[in-house]
Amino acid sequence: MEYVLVTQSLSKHYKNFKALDGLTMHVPRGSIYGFVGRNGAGKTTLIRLICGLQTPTAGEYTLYGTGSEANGIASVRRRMGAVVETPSIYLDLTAEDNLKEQFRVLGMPSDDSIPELLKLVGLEDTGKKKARNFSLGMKQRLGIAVALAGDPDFLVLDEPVNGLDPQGIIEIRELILKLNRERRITVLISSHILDELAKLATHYGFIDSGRIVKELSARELETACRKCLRVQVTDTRPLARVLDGMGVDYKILEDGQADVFAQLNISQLSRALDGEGCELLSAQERDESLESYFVNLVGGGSHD
Amino acid sequence: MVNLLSAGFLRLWRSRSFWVCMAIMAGVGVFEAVEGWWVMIEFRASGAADAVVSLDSRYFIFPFLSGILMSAFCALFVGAEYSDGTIRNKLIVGHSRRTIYLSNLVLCVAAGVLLCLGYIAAVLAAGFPLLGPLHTPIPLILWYTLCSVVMTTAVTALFTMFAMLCQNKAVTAVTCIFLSYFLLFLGIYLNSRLEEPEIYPPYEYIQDGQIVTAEAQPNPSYIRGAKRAVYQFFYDLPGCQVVQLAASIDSGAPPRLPLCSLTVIVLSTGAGTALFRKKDLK
Repeated sequence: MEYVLVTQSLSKHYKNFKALDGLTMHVPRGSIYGFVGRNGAGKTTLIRLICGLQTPTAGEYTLYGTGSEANGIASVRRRMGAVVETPSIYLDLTAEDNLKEQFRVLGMPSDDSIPELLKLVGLEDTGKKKARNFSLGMKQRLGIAVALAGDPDFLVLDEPVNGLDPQGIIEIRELILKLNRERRITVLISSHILDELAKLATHYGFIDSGRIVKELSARELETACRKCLRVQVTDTRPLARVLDGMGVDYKILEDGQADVFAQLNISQLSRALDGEGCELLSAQERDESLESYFVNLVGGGSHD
Repeated sequence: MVNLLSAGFLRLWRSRSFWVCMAIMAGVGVFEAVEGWWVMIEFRASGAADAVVSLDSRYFIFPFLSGILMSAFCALFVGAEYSDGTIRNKLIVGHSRRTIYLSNLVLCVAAGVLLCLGYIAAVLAAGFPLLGPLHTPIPLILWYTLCSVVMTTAVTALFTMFAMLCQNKAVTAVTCIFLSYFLLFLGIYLNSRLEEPEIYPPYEYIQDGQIVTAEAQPNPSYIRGAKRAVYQFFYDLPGCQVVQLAASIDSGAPPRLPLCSLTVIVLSTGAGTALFRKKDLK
């Protein structure tokens, strides 16, 4: 798999506080990578590091294969756009003037694509209105437009739906999906609004206390969170035979446990197992959401 | 760097704070000329038919104003990069910290020079018809103007350094404005101390109907030795030196003043870029 961003044992310390503590993560090309963690887990710190706003205390990261200490990292950064925390826009300029500014910062030869960019983010009718007078959602979309000015392959969004109303959340979600599907832009999106992230992400990285505790694809997560019946038996070999005979999907776990992904008649299963000389010890229905998966993964301890 | 300057000049052109500062400089220029003319009219009306208020005295005021206005302008213009978060846009797309710092310095210096030119254009445009031409020789005027612009550039470099190193726009504004006034008043104080005569000259007075001659006496307030050197050092600093510049219009400002300003520009820019490179940004 080709990765846009790889971090290797990345650390960032502020005096005695470890904001990142040997974080290793992999963002595949073309993915929407959901970066999940509670407040203070280190999400924004990581984003600041990869955007060049801060330097790591230890470890390194590679962007498109170029190391963070390499000379070419500045030119590689031209391939990325980012909205870190709040949208980075001049409040006393219009949407169009903000984009003109960024086009000049990037040294773009022409401003011709500005109307198209404004249309993409739904700000084509803002005219002479200053960004100061925009709603939060409009500011967020303008921030994304500024990040898209250089036609990046990699977009980093830090909590993009924070504080938005439901309509604003839908608009941002649709925009991100459109960018990913139509422009093939890889998106790293940090959030602690898990339901929203679940509608977007193709890959997940779960961060806690400055470390990645789990990385997996949306498909793997779906499997992990799939509604199932967790059964405990005295021997899993006869269980496998019985379940194969029933033609249902299952996964054998450790210690005589298995997850069965089907609605089963427990009495029927118990009788069938009995015939194979195996006892059904317990059966428990499991239905995990992303939220409960996250809580199970990082524990339900107190927030920072 | 060229891209950042191009974007910066576009923003400068649309900056309200720049145009407000420009309006103040030009407005004060016109006011000085008109006020001089009004004073001259009043003198003549009171019988002094030959009374003249020279344009020169009004021309040489702009360095007092440019330093103070630049303190506010730098804080607002550079501070907006932090308060609006737009400095991140430059870093994220790969511009180095050094070029970001230097481009902001160039923009602020350009704004400072333009403000000085705004005052000069306004005071000359309004002053020529009302007060007549300048009487100071042109080389001296040009030298004074150059020294003043270099001094304005030096204080601008200091304010830019503060603005680039402090992420809080309000703190930057308060610090820069306070510093500009502090340097101005320090200059006035140092001028009064350094201008103290070393010896009080002999003088005569009448006592009991007889003329008594008092001998020359050393001035106990006269500053000597190392203390004088320290006072002189601070007096030469940009901001403080505005008083010295005004006092030396007829004789020409000593070359050490622009040299001192250039030294401050180099040191503050060197320190500013070094510290900004290591700064963690949010």
